[in-house]
Formats: sequence, C-alpha cells, structure tokens
Amino acid sequence: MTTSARRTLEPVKPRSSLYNIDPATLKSRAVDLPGMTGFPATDLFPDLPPSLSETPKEALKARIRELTVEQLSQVDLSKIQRGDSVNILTSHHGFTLHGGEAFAEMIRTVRDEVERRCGTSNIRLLAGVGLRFRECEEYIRRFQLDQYFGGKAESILPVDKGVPIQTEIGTLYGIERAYSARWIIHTHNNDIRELHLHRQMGRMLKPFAMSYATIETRSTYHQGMGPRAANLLPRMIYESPFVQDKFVCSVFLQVAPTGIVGVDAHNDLLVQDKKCAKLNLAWYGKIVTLLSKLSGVIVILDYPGPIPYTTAGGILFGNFLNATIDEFDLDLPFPPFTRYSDMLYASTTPVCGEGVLPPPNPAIKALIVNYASKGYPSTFFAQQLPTLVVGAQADLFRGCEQNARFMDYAIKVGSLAKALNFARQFGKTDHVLVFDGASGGFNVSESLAESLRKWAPEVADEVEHKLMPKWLRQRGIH
Amino acid sequence: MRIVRQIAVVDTKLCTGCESCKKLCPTVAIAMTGTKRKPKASIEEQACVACGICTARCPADAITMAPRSVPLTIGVNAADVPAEKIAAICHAAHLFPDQIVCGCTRVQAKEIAAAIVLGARTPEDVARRTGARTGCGVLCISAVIRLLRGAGIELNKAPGYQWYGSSVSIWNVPPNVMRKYPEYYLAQDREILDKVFPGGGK
Repeated sequence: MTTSARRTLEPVKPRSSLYNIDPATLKSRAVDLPGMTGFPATDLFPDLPPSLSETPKEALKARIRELTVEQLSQVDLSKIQRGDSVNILTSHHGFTLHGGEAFAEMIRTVRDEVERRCGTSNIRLLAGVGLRFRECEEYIRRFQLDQYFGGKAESILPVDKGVPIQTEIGTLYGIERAYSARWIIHTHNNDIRELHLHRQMGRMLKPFAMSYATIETRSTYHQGMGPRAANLLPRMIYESPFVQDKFVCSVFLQVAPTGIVGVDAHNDLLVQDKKCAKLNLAWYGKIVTLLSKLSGVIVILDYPGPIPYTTAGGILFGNFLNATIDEFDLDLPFPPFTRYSDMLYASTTPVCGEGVLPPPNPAIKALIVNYASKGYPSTFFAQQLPTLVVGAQADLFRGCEQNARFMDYAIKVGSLAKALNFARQFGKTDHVLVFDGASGGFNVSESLAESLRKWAPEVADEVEHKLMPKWLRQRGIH
Repeated sequence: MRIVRQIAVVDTKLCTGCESCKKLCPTVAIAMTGTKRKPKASIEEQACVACGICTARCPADAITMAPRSVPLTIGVNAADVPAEKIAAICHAAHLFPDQIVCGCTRVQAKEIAAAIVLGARTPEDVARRTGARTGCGVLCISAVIRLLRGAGIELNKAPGYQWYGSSVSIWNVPPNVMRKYPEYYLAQDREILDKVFPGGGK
C-alpha cells in the first residue's frame, strides 16, 4: 500500500441548513473511525486528469476566473446588445461540488464578462432547485451572489408560474422567470450524477427539463417516458424556437473523479454535450465499473445532501446503489423512475414481476446514515437496505414531509461507532465505503482498499478495450 | 390513511398578500381575505395537509407550520370501490393498482383511482382526499393527471400554477418524432413500458 493510501481524505464540512441537522449535533465523522484510509482515484487509475481542487481557495478562484474568461473568449456573445436583459441560469448541484466556491466564481465571471464585452448590466442569476425549495436561497446567501448581482439573484421553483414551450413532441412547460430575459446563458456542471436518468445521452441538456421546468415537465421526464427516451424532452425544449431565440451559450464547470479539472464553454449545447459524453465515459466509466465489482460492503453516508446524492470520488451513492447493471450501456432498458424509488413496488416486492427491475445493489450489506439531508423521498432505501440511522438524523427524517415513513423501516443507533460494529456483525463484512464528499477519491476501510487496488488493473483493461468502444459507438462518438 | 398533525399558520403582520402560496397550494387550502387593498393569506383548516410547500415559497417568511389541536385524517380506502372500476382507470393510465404513485406520501394508484370513482375531478381534489402530491409537490403530477384522464375526465385549468395539463408521454409521441430521433430509443422504451405497464387500450 502506498503512503498516499494511508492518509484519509478530508470530508466535506458540516453545513448549517434548513435541511440538515445542526452541525453541533454531529458527534463523529466516518473518516475518524479506526482503520479508515483515504484512497485517491489516481492510485487506481493514473490516467485520470489532474485536479485543481487542492489549490488554496483564493488561488483556485483566480484560476477558475482565468479559465472561464479564456473559454468565453472562444464564444460568440455578439447577440447581446448594450442594455439587453440576460438571465444566467443555473442549478443547485454545482454549489455542492467541492465546497461550491469554484462554481460560484465561474458564475460571477460569466456575469462580469457579459457586462464587459456586451455593455449590459441588466444581468440576473436564476437558480433552479431540486426538491428542497429553499436550497438555492442558502447558496445565494452563502456565496453572496445577491450582492454580486446587485440584488438580482433569485431561486426559481418548479411550482412557480409556468410558460408553455411548443416543441416537436407537444407543449412542455418552463418556469416563466427563467425565460423572462431577452437572452439566457446556461451554467452547469458535467459530473455523472443522475446517470440512471440521463444515461450520459444528454447530460448537459437535462436542466432544460428539470431545473428550468415546472412540475409537469419534470414529472413527465421521471414517470412518463423510459430512462433513455426521457432525454428527448430536454432536447426538444432546448431546440424549440422559444429557447433558441434566447439561447446564447453554456458554461460548465468540469469535474472528474479527481476533483475540479476545468471550465468549458460553447455556443452549441449539442456539440458540448457530445464532448462531455466522451470525457465522462472515460473519467467516470472506470470508477463506476470498479465499484460494480464489490460483493459485500457497508456504506456510510456522511455528507450534507439527500441520501442518493451523497458523494465521494466524484460519484453519488446513487450510482453505487444502481451498479447492478451498466447504466452507460444504452442497450439496457428499464422502466422509468424505478431506481431510487418504490414506485413499482407494493410494500417491498415489485408489482411488475421478478426480473424486470434492476434491484438495489445487493453488495450493500448495511447502510449507515451518519449525516444526510432531508427533503428527498427516501423511504425506498430504508425498505430495501438494512438501514441504521445515527442520533439526531433519525429525528430529522421523522420531521420530513417527504419521508414520513422512513424511520418505520430504519433503526436508530446512538453512535456511529456502535452502528458500524452492529453492521459488521450482521453484514459479515469488513469492507466499508464512505460517501462523505471527499474530493479526489474515497475514504474506505483498509480491507476494501486492498480489494480495489487488486481489481483496478483488470477493470481498466475491461473499460478501455471492451466497454468504451461499445459506449462510444452507441452514442455515435468516434 | 394518513394522520396530519400539523397545519400552516399565517402571520398576517408579515403577509404581503402576494398570493404566491395560494397559487401553488396542491389542496387549494389558501384563500385571500382581509381588505382589497391589504389582502392576507388565510388557511382552510380542513384542507391543509401540512405539505409545507407554502412555507418554502413564501417570500416574506410569513407562513410556518404548527401542531394541529385535533389531528386530521385523510385517505381513501380502495376496498370501498369496485375493483374492476379501479382496474379500468389504472389500466388506461398505464399504472398498476398497487403501484405507489406518490413516493413521499406513499399513496397508491388504486387509492387515487378510488378517489376519482368517489368524486375527485381535479388533481387538487385528489390531493385533498388522498394526500398524493403533498410531499415534494413535484414528481407525481403527471401520473395523477394520467389517472384522471384515464377515468375520462377532461381537465380545464388549474386554479393557480398547480398544473397545466400537459399530456406528453411515451404513449403519445408522434410517429414522425419516433422516426426522426432513433438515438433516443423511443420505440424500444415504448416496447418495454408496454410490457411492464399494462394498458394503452390493448
């Protein structure tokens, strides 16, 4: 084992939020448990891109500003005339990546460049949310974006007033305020995140049917189409005359399993999406494939995000939960909205018969929730996985409108150490994988580190020679 | 059945009368009272199911949740309605009767179908009777609309921004779009969904 694998990686710090427990009540972190070790992604796959994440805060901000200006210099902003109104659109998730400051600085820079190059100060930031309606208000305050935008930074919700968008597939609905300006600029991030939905076939376009859409279009994306077909919805919205008349460009924070790696900007989102797909398949394909090889593991969630959205090593716990099939493989179909939810289950068994639904990852022998946000329907996880909830987290879930039954299926345990001891007994494994927001890799038990190291070369070979050619061919990428 | 133990409470000193809450409430539990010049949000006690969406949206932080003096019980017993009527509505909506439609409140398709048989005519009626749509307030609206349409109910206009009646789904994608965008696997996903979800007038 190398020296670098013996140190643990720094987890994300606890965050004060409406959706989290009080940081003072978080008694211990997984990374401090005996026998934990940090495992940088580059130890496994040395060809992953180098990260900027370890750069000191002010230097990182300066570098992100420099990269954003450089990328925007290759983008045509000439549509925007002096005094025109511009909405910079964004989503909550970028603010959760590696502390969020890099994403916020990218957005600030976009604003400044539009003002400098186009001569307009009529620039507004509109931030879409998931299912936690106050979340972006918190980010706007934390990163002082309201001041930066001169009081013109707001959160937009899927329950806000809609605007009909005529598309080839029928009428879909955007959030009216998102499209209230003459021009829009799309800012986002490329990590694979909800791979079960976008299947890396429209990752960059997805916010047009989510963050900037009302409940009906979001609901249709989730429940009215297949997980491959649903990706036509954001494409239809993006290519609609209504949106094309307003669209100027998109700017993305590039992240990889190693951390923040750059910024990308383009006038054509479809071109940018293809580029993103090629990079993501290479960057994330090996990590996800490696984790799919695990046969027995205790997962500890220790991150201020909803259960499936807790992260480490650039991926979500949800990606590991779904690692029973290769979600990059577009030949594999499955029904919509079934991978994080109980919607095709009656109680704990599927209503559509055995073998239709890919099951939650049976490698997960126990799920320990030490720290996670409320505000996402998560009862399914407690139903499907032996779940232990530590301390005050249990009360947080009990008080959540979206998790009224969660604790009916989970056990409350007094401390993280006790929870892990118990999980080791019934899980009969010493492998521990932590989703704690660690940048650039994972915190794991030493036994799991050994296993991952052993399997990595074989996985690298499988991805490079067998899977990547298929994934690229399926997406028409050469 | 669901027992609602809380209720939204408006601080009329903070309420600016903007009507944001009224326009998004999934059970239409909020009306404007007070004077024409100074309207104030007012909660209908028997209709509020404590989803918290109004508290999350109020720009003046004028709405909070408080314990109810007497808990409210909501829910529909699907057994009170002939099974064949429920099956027909679910079939037309491409949903299983036992399927959970609302992942937050765990309301099943058969409960919504039963509510429709018993008189629900809008998504708001469904929310009041069953509690569906009163968790996240986002994800299940298309399935609720499909069930109402499956029962032959034509939806006109929501009282606010609650829904717009979009009918896009895999089952009504125009054939020319199916052919034009083969890279989205529309025909293949339609095939698997037809296998998984019964219905579609077969």
